[in-house]
Amino acid sequence: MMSRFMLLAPVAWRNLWRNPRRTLITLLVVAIGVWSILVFDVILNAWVTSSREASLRLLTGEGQIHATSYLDDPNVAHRMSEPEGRLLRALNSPVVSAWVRRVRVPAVIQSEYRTRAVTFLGVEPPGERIVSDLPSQVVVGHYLRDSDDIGIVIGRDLAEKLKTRLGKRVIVMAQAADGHLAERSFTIAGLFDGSQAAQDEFVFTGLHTAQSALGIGHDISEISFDTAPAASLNDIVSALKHAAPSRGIEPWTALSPLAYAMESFSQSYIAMWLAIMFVLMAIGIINTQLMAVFERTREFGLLQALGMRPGMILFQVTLESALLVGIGVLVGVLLMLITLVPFRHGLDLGFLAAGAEMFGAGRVLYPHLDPGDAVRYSLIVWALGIGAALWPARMAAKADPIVAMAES
Amino acid sequence: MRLTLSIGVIAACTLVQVFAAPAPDADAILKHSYDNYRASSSETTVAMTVHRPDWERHLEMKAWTRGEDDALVRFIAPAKDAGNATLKLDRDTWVFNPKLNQVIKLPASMMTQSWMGSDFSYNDLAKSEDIITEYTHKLTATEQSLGHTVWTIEATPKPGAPVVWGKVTLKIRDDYVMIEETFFDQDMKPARRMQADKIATLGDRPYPVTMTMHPLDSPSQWTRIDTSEGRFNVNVPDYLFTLSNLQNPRQ
Amino acid sequence: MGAIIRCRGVEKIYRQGAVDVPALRGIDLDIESGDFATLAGPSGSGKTTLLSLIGGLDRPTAGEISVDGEPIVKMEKNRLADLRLHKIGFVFQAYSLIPVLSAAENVEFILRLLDLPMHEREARCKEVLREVGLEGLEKRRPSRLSGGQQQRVAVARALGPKPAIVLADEPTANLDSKNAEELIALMAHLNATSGITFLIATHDSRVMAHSRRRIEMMDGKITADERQDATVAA
Repeated sequence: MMSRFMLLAPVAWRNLWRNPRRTLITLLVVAIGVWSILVFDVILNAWVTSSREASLRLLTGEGQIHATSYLDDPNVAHRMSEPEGRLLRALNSPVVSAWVRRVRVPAVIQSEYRTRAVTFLGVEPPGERIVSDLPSQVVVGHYLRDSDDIGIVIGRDLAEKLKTRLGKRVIVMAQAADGHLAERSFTIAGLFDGSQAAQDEFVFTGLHTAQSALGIGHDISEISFDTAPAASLNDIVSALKHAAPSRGIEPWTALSPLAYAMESFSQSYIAMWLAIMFVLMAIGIINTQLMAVFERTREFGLLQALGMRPGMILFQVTLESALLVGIGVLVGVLLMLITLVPFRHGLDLGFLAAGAEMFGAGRVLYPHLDPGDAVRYSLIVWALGIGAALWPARMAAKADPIVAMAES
Repeated sequence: MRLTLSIGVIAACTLVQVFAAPAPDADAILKHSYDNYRASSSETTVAMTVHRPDWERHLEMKAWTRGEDDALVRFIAPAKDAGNATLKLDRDTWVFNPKLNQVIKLPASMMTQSWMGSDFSYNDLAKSEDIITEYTHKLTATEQSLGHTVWTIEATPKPGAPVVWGKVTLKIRDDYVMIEETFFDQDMKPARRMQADKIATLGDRPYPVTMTMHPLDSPSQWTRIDTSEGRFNVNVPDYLFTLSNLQNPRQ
Repeated sequence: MGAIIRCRGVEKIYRQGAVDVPALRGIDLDIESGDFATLAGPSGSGKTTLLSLIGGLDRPTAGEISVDGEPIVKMEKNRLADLRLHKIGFVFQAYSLIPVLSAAENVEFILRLLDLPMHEREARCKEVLREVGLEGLEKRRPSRLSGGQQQRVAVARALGPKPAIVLADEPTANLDSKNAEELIALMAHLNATSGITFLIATHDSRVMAHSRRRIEMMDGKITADERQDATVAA
């Protein structure tokens, strides 16, 4: 077999360049196909990662704990006590890398000129700096210092909509524990940037400030937690459920279904794209290889007359296709790498920011090539390409040796 | 910082008292003006004109008040709005919509919304006392105009008060009719202004029968209130201020 | 010396639509080892058909054919291919070389299919190319060889595996007379010196002049089969 390969490989290689134009066209078809599949894969993966990060690193965390009815109706009535006993021990175990308490209720924020519906959060600033990217996105003023901070941090965009700015007073109104309207004046301590939706929705103050404004003592609305790198989220969620059976404990997959759906469907999207591109490539490969085979019918007859078995001829033509598709795949991979070089430090989607946010991704995508994916998809395309070329190869193997005798 | 401010405020107050000793007390003027406007109870008939650059609408309503905290407003015209009613009891507000035949307690988020499409929010109705309770007041000018003494009172929000304004200035005549109220944003730029356009005797008292609210950032829009009938300190039956009456008016 | 090729009652009928066209009508023929035989006859007389049947490129409608003692009529395809590889050398009228391989590589290609060790392959390759007088042209691709040189390569390649017989189908048809003469002389020389058996289908009288056995065909039948003393090559 090896000696046959050594015999036929150079022949196959030379045969490829008998019709350079046709070969180059096929190479181009395969290369572009592979390129598009890999670039699609990289971008989609970047998108998935980004949308998950955008969601998890905003406020979601890897999981959350609420009073059971909170998610259905996130108001002040559906609050819970601070974690204690077994739940507290579970949260402080090493598999949970960080956790924070929050008050989180629907509210109205009012400036002199405008009023907007928002989500009002009381947070623990030191913990938030660990579980959320939001504290680092404060671009004007500063983030909250501690749980007793009486300032408010709102989105820069919200501030513009309210026609207010850093240092100004705004009023936050929310339903208090006693059912009445709690109103409180806050001075804007900082403005954060980031996703438009987050800027318009969330306003933050210190946890204790929010608790006293709403009159809920030490109660909280949610706990958001992150897990240690090697820990299994599902295991932690079950452990927490076990520790606190009366509370609602959800992993991010349930809290951010869009990000999760993006992640779980991305493989299908890639497979679909692969299928589409492959059909196009297969048409190209079969077409050119069939043309090549028909042109060389006489040669295949000759090879048989000289004593080459039909199987060997099949092998030779397949070898030619394997080389052709293989080179195409390599060129495609190379093109992909070249394409990604300019975006290795991130692809700024600022120009379509609103559109990107619609899908939950951040503004900047960080393309990351998974070598496993690249190898896998390259091999799949290569194998499928060879498979497609089997048809022309069979035509060649079936060539009647008698054609070698035919007169010119 | 806060301490310094407090000392400053106390000092300022002291100074005012020292140098303006004969002048009337700002708090008293304001209180008197509000009492004059609302009395211990009232029954008024009011027309409201909401003006926008491309449209204008007129609403007519009857309003009853009891004490400082309770009010009922029932729309009587135009036909499509007739029957709509707003009831305020203490800190809570309900609205009744006859088409839905439903009473809704306004949630916090609704309180800041426009009342019947006007330049007033539900909060403007519900929190009219704010100017008395949430601000400190200072008499800043006394002048003569059209045969009346006119006091200018500057109201500054108390520290931590849940109000958005930088300050409010009020002009009140010596017959305690408020003729102008200007709301300043926190840059001390006027943001909206309520003016008494016409003052006449209504019932037993001088009254700003035509008032207009101008949002100053949108010069081409305003809301005018014309009070055509008014009776004050009359006996307003308690059943008016009930949810059942809101839904099924007895009169 | 036994018969390398043995044909008995070989018939071949081509179906052309609904019509049966008989190409061979009962051929009995033995080719002896060392023969330098020509198969003459006008176009359509059945020369090429007979050659293709003997070479196992096609199967007869009836009759028996054996090559070096092995019956090939019902032989399985792969075994037929192997038989051709080992025992039969082909020289065609034209296009009988693999275009992407040089002269030496064309010869070597067959030797490699035979799994000959490299040093034997190289020696044999050199030898046959020298025998056909192509020293110095080993590295040329067919497109850079003249028609006569191409046919010499074909002959060299046919000789490479030391076949039992070389079947040549009109090898001179596309050559000018000088080249044709040289090719025939070469083949006759190889027959005379190495004892390789040739069966050449031709209607070239110069070829026939070298022939030591003239077989004539007409309408699918052998009409004459006579031995003669070959004209000595010039």
